[in-house]
Amino acid sequence: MIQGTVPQMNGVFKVRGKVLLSGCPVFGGYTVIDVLRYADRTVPLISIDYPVIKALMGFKGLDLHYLVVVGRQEEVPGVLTGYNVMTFLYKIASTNPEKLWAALYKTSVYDVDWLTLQAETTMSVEDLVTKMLMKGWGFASVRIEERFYLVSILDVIRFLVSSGAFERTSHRLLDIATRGVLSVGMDSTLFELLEVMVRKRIRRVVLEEEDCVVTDRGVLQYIISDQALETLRDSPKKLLATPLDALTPYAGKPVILGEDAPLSIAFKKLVEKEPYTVLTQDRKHILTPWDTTKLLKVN
Amino acid sequence: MMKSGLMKLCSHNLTAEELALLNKIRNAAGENGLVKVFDVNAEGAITALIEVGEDSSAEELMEKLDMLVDKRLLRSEFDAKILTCRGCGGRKLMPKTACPLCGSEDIVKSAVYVHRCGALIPEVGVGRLVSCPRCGGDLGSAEGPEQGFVCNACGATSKWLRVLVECLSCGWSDVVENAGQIVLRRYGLTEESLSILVSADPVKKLVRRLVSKGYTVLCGVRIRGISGAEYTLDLIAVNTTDLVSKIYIVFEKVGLAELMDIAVKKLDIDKNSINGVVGNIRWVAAAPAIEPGAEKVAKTFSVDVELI
Repeated sequence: MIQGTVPQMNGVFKVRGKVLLSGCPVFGGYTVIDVLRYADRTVPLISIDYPVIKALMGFKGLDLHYLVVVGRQEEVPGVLTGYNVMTFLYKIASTNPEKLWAALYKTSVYDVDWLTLQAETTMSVEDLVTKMLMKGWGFASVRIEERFYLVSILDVIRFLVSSGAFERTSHRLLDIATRGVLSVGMDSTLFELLEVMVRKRIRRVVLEEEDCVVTDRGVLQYIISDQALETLRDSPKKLLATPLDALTPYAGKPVILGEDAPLSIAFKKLVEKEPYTVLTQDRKHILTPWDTTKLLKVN
Repeated sequence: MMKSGLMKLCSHNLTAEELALLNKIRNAAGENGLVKVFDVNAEGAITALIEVGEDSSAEELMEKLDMLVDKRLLRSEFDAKILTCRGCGGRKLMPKTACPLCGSEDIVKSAVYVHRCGALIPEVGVGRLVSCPRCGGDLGSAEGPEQGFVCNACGATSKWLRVLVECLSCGWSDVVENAGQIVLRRYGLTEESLSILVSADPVKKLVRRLVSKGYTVLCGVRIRGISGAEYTLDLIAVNTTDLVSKIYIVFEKVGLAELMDIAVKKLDIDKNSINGVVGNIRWVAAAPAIEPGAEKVAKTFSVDVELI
């Protein structure tokens, strides 16, 4: 479990020495309970003691984006995403790939998952996004009576799009999109893809030639396919050496927009389908759900 | 994957015929839980007192019951002993008695007295003799009378007879010790077989169902997976006629968590290294309750779901 603390300073937040000021019109007036309607409330809970392979079966059986991880004492839940699994596989593959299969059975979810932020239903959406930015965590847990729900940064955007909140900003795509799109050639291997995503700490990579984007979820979907699982079991090195064209069924076409496209259009297009990515026409900028955090005013 | 080394038959394997036999014993059992299964008819042939089917004999039934005793699914107690002819195997044996010294059958019962030297003196001799014919001692110390025999052929006096049997079918004759013998036993259920037949435990219920459908069932098979993890497979059911094998994991209910559990085992276990399985091998998650949607999820794992 990756742990940390949330520094709070009487409603004023700091990120890397910069003070975040409240008052972004996009987030104005909304609370977490509003966003919760857009969260997937059917995600099952899994035990923190489960081996990673069992969690993978959960992803496979229900075609999930993430799993909620709960401990024995029902404390703040964690979250397990494709990125966690990918990071775990990369670490083992870098040192002892032959042990990958056994590691999946012997490593518990506890050692792999992320902690989540805690949020109250009355917390403002702006505070929620600010906390996400400060921690670098894209998920927050909300407890309602005895049940936990997870709210992701993507859920926040879905809500903001549906409520028309992005219409309140005059920002353009280029204003918050990230410059420098990482891509890999189709002749690269699965291991090289894992290496790029883990080392650069990104969840989306453009597959060159195919003009599509593979996400951590796409990588996970490929790994839990019947054939890939059998290869992972019988010959882990062979799986890691798989060329990326094997992953194209699990990659998605990004939305391509002009640099000056209004942000409201960009996010509306972004949430429509996986891989939840917008690229500028020159392919030099990428907009992902995390870029929402840039809407917070930074001094 | 470790092959047969770790694979262990923890309790039993059962056939449909054996299960039916256990049920017959259960239905026929008396107050002490035991059933007299065999008897001998007027012709001296062993007959079964429970139905054995047209193609089966009492002897075959006896073998099957004794196999169930070996498997600890039946207990047995002595019921009767039947002597058989060494010549033809028949059971029509005529008992005969003879003099232990000369072998003559011309012997008569007589009261005898035992002198202190060990000599046996017939009652008629006591009145005629004045001293012991063996040691010459005084007969007044002889004790008796006791039951004995006097041979009219050789005059010997004895307390015991030589017992012979003669086969009325083939004429073979010998001392009774040399005759063949069949021991008839009474049979009853053991705690284990009783629990198989009547238990509401899901595993036991499943065993009953599978066996009655013609499967041979192995219980509690332990095996090591490719990852090194060890597993216990609740049941392995094999039907060699239809060439179908089913690997069962039994749960209280089948939902997502249970299906994840069986999928993890299925992936890690090389089914071809499980001894005894044949033909098409299926993994089955079985339980008395199945959650909605479980069957759909099971399909993604190529696992079957079965309600117990």
